[in-house]
Amino acid sequence: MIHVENLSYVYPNAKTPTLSGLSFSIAKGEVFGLLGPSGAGKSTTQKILMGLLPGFSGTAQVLGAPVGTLGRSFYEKIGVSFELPTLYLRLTAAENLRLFASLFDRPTRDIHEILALVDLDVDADKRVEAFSKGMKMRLNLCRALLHDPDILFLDEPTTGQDPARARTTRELILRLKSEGKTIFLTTHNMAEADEICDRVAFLAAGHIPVSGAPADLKRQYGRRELLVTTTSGPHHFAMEGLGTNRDFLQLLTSDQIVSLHTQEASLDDVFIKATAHV
Amino acid sequence: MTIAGFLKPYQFVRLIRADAQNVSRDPILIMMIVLGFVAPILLIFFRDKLDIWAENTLGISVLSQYVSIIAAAAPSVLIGWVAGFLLLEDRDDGPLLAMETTPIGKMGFIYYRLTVAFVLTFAISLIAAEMLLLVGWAVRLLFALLVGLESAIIALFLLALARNKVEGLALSKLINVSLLIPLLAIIPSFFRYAGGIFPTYWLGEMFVWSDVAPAGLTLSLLFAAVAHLVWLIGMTRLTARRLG
Repeated sequence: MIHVENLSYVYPNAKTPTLSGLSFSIAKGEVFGLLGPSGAGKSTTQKILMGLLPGFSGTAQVLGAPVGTLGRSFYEKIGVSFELPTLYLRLTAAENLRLFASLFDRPTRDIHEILALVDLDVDADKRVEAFSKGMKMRLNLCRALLHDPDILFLDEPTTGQDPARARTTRELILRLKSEGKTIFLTTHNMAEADEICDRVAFLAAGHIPVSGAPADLKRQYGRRELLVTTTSGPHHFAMEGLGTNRDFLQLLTSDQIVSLHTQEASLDDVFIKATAHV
Repeated sequence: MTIAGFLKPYQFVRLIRADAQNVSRDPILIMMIVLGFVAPILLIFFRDKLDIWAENTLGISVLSQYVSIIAAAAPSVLIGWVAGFLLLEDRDDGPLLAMETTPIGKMGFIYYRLTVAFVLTFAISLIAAEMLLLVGWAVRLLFALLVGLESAIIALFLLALARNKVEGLALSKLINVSLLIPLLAIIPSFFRYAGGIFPTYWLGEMFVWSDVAPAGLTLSLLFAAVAHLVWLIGMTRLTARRLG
């Protein structure tokens, strides 16, 4: 669905490139996370893929065609949820969605059904100016889903949401994936990416030093070790030969164990190690 | 069938409805649109009293003829300001960016707003000209068309030059002054043509020549059309460049 090869971009009057030689591909039905700190170039990459930023070098293809060659009908097939609310504040949630729904030629989904997906159906007739930032972000997501697009570009979709709402949003993203939607997610929230992305790519200083499935990366950058916390303190055991390790087996039967943790890295650890020399 | 070259009728109606809801919930925007009607209406009712007052206190006869030009052109400033201010708000609050990811696009949406401002201003100015301006119907029609174009120019001027809504309010003071520019045309000096770089100047020039010489009127109309189109194209290009 998305293919990027050797993508570079320099903003006018900038001395250094914002993106430098990015390459990645995203298959249909995949959730792909582009992770990195603010200013790393995540939004720039997204803007290029959405056809909003010309003047790049390299290859950027979306839906099998080079970006910028599909004309305005391209926007019938993609849905975008921006990092900040982009809504009419004096209109209600339902009025906002009705307005944007009218701009698409393809059939749009029922507004109240969409609002219910993010628990906003009871607020359908409330003006957006009375919404919290989290509610506005959820309405942003509704707008992106209105025309049932094939590809979704979601920029920090859980920003401003409390943990319970953020979980609802993550569950919705996974549901969309199960319906066959391709999702391009940009975030600096590593735990969120770990939970919902099939693959992630770390972006630092315009480069992607590491990419892959979160589980693979965590194993690759972690230690093959088991941390056993007991009432008398922590104990480390190598994973190799664990089943025959006499000390470990003794602990298992001692009734002193508080917790057991394998020592794979977190995505935060992977990011820090992978970008240390970029 | 499309409206403004790219919108289907139901899309146009939906956008108009949303704009009407949006404006109706902001007292300042309502006031600006109402003021667009107030100036011509006041002049219709108090024209004679104004002329008597001007004659007695300022020594100017038929002042209302000159003020009529300003009153009939006032809707361009007020409706153009509302259209421009709404676009500034859309840019600051984000809906304009969201429009860019829809089939109509950012510029498509701007053209829609300009079309509405033009049509609304044209209609009001035509009625105001009919009641206030003592010139032939063809001149009144052309006057309303040019005033309609001015509302689009003003909306673009705000969007292109104001970095935020506060700057938009400051620029509106400058825009209000443009309503006085047609009066330069009654100055009996060649230097009055310096005002010709502003499109509104030519509205005054049209009236100066309307009763005097058909050739002068035709030439004024030609310059008026050129000045309006140059400003409209220039502001459209500047807006497109500023918005990226």
